[in-house]
Amino acid sequence: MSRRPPVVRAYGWLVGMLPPDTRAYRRDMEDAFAGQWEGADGPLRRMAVLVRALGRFPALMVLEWSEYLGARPAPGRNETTGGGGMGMLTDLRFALRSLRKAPAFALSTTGLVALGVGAVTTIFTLVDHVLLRPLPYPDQDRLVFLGNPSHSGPFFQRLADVGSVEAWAGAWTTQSTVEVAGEPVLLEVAQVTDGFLEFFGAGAVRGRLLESGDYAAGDVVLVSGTAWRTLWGSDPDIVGRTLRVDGRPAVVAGVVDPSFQPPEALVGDEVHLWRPVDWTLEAMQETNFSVLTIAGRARAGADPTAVQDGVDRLLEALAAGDRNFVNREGEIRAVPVSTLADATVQDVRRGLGLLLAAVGVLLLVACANIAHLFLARGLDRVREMAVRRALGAGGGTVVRHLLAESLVVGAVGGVAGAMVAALGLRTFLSMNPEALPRGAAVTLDVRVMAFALVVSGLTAVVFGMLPALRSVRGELAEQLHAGGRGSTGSRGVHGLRKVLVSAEVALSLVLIASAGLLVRSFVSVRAQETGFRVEDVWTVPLRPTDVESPEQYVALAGEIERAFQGVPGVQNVAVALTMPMEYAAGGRCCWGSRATVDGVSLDQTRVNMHPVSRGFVPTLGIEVLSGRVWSEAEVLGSPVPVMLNEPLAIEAFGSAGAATGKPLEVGDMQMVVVGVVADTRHYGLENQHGAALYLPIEQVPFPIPRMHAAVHVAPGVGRGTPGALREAVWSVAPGLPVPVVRSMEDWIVRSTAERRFQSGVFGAFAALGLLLAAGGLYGTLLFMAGQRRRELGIRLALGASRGRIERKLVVSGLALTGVGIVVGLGAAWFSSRLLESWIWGVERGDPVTLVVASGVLLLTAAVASWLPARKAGRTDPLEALRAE
Amino acid sequence: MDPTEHLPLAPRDLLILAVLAEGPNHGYGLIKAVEERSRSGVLLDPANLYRVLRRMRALAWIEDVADDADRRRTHRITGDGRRVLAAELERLERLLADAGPAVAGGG
Repeated sequence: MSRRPPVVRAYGWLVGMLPPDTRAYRRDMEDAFAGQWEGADGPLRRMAVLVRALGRFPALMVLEWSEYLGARPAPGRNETTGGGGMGMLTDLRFALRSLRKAPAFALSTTGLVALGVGAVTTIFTLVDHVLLRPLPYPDQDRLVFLGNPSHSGPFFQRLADVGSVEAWAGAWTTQSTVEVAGEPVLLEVAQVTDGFLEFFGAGAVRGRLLESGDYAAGDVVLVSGTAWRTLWGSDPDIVGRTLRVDGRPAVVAGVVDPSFQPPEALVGDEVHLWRPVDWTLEAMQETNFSVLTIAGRARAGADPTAVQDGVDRLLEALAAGDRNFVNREGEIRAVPVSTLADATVQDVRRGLGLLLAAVGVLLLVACANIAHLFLARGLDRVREMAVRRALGAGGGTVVRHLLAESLVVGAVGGVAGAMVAALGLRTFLSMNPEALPRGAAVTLDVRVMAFALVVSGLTAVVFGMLPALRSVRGELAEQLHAGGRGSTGSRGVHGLRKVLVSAEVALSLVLIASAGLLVRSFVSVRAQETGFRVEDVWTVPLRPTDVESPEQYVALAGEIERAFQGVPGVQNVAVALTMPMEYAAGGRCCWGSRATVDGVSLDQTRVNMHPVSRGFVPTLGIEVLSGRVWSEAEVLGSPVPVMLNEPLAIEAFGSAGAATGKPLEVGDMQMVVVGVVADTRHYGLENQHGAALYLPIEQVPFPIPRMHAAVHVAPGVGRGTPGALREAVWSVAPGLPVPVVRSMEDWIVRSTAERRFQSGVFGAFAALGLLLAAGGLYGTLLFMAGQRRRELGIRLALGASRGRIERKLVVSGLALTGVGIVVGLGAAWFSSRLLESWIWGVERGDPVTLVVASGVLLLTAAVASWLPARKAGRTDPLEALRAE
Repeated sequence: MDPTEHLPLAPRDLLILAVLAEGPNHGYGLIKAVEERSRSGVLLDPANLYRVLRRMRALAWIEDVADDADRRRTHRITGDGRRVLAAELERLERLLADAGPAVAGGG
């Protein structure tokens, strides 16, 4: 049967929580809901269906369960419960009745349970899925990954000597241009070693997988399940068809099962085509051509340490005869072995761990609030409990009643929490789908929900019971007398409430300060000077996968430059190997070497080399500090004319002015400095560019399937630019895919998207925490005022001014907040250590952030205290006294 | 069974019986049919529908049709169900007849 949409599955899950005698109908309910959901056209209708189905659910749940348990007469119920349950039934009925009488209490407690359960379940589901779940491959616990990060063909072949591993799989991920439905499309291609797909347990849904014979012929491809669906519309006749991959024919031998998740650590999260790795390629026999990512399956009983030993021994043997296995310092190049699971998630582990910590803090705050509400209610009812005991109810009965109440709150809150979690998970994934490995397959986990439910349910039970236990232990007569005024026992509980409020404030401060640090980092990253023009610049990254010689590469660059110059509104054109911000997410594409000045090697400095056209500096508006851009006549000159960036000029020659005209050797190229330009943020706003130089793109000595063109257009021309540029590329290179045309502004927004996401999530948690802390404070002060109603009444009657009384209450509220802030500041300082790798441009103990966070809390606390204080100040003295 | 003892029927019950009187139907079919003919805005959600159906089945107004080909549970009206439906319709008609002239005269 086909997989149902998550909403329908969630509904089925909810229906599963109805009493057992509805079992026969559950499937039908789910089917009927599925019919409604799928039959509704448009999101609005769907929303209406959802609201109707879910809106009536809580009431129905209560009805069904109370009928099932016999608390209400139930027409049409065949089953009855055994006599043993009768006591519990009475309790439950009582709990429902008393909760109905206190709707504010019932709503806020269940709401808090729902919030806590929902938030924790959402985040924990993600963490559980990404970090804790096993990889979906056979013998996944025995799979290991070789780091550092890729390896050569001969090394892969020698790995067979490692005795602790029974099989190896390697992949070389490249990109190729394939014509699909008449348009050139850039596809991700994984060239894999023999048996790779079988190693990871993949199957074929059409045709077959790769066979050993394919490696000799090499003209065979497999289409991935996703590519088959999205690019070829699940064409049933695709097997046997010939594709042109980078202009060469390749026959489709099969379609890989769409449910197969490619191993991300080896081939990335998206593969369109699988091909046999081309061992006939000369470079594949070279030990310095490191392109294969490698995983292995250890023999049963061998752990990664054993594999590491085997790999180390192999490396020792190899290094003896081959300098390519030795680094500059003469040491053997290390190849760290880790489990494949660790290699898959290492990048997100820290981020998700932090989210989990943040949501855990939020759950604590929510629990503290639940505790408040139950304590307050318990104190209000000391007298009621005492009366009931006086009328003959045993201590046990009283405790049981309160327990039932807590359980009902926990159960109803849990159901609502499930809905919050389902919604939260979808929102989360839609906000940030690319940042999570295996993110596509995340679904809600019932175990996780149970965990959160137990935490908040336990809170409700413990704090619901506390007053009851006190009531049972205390002196009956005293309690009957003391009434609402508060007894010795309640004073202890009152102290507990104060501690809870302070704790809430402290925890909120941690959340607010963390959010503050992240927001400040985001702001300072965005405020970073780029060093190049951002407005009115559009760029076109290209992957010319079929260039085979430097001459072809240079010719293509020239043609694209001329084509772009013909586009209306274009003022300057640049063609380069890479553009600023292209590698903001990581990587240092693509060319760098060490520099030598006057025979002295600048050995600490790796120089980033950027082949660019003459238009690069004017297009990006980079400031020329001295000298000039090379002239048209010089582009093929020798020594190579270059422009240095300021850091390199200062490092090599002492100043920008001193560099011009000087000779320089980088790698084995002889160069002469013709100019110096200002530093730019080439690799992202938060990264130093380091030493860099620009040389004529005409002198690129190798063919490389990367090129990046940019134009500076006249202000206001922007709108039609992307289409015009795409057409211009195709006018000179009809088979070249143009995946995106992007404005420089967009590159910058993308480079900071993850920071914005982090700030947003923490900001939301902080806002919720603040709200909850304010609620707790408000409730406590309201209660304090209520407890002292009589005292306040007397004071007012004796002539105390309202203002004085109000001030007194506000001050006691602020005192509680102050204690919380002091504790919270310490905690925030410690917790900011965890955030260190996310913080940029701000000290982790940043005083401004801490002061502002404390200020926000104090201000909120002042308002939350003033409201109940005002109410207390308006007490009518007569009424207050009469109430006793 | 005295069909009048359950009158008046809730609009929702009346509509469900009326739909089933035209032939057996399953859950989603019922929801759709009821919504189509309900100008008074009787809207059903699956869980509540099954609550109603279970009650009617206990009263023996409807019964399940065994149908193995289609795993969905299909409901059919019984003789008792038809009698209750007829009694309710008669009651409503009488009510309309009584109220009719007054309305006509007042309008």
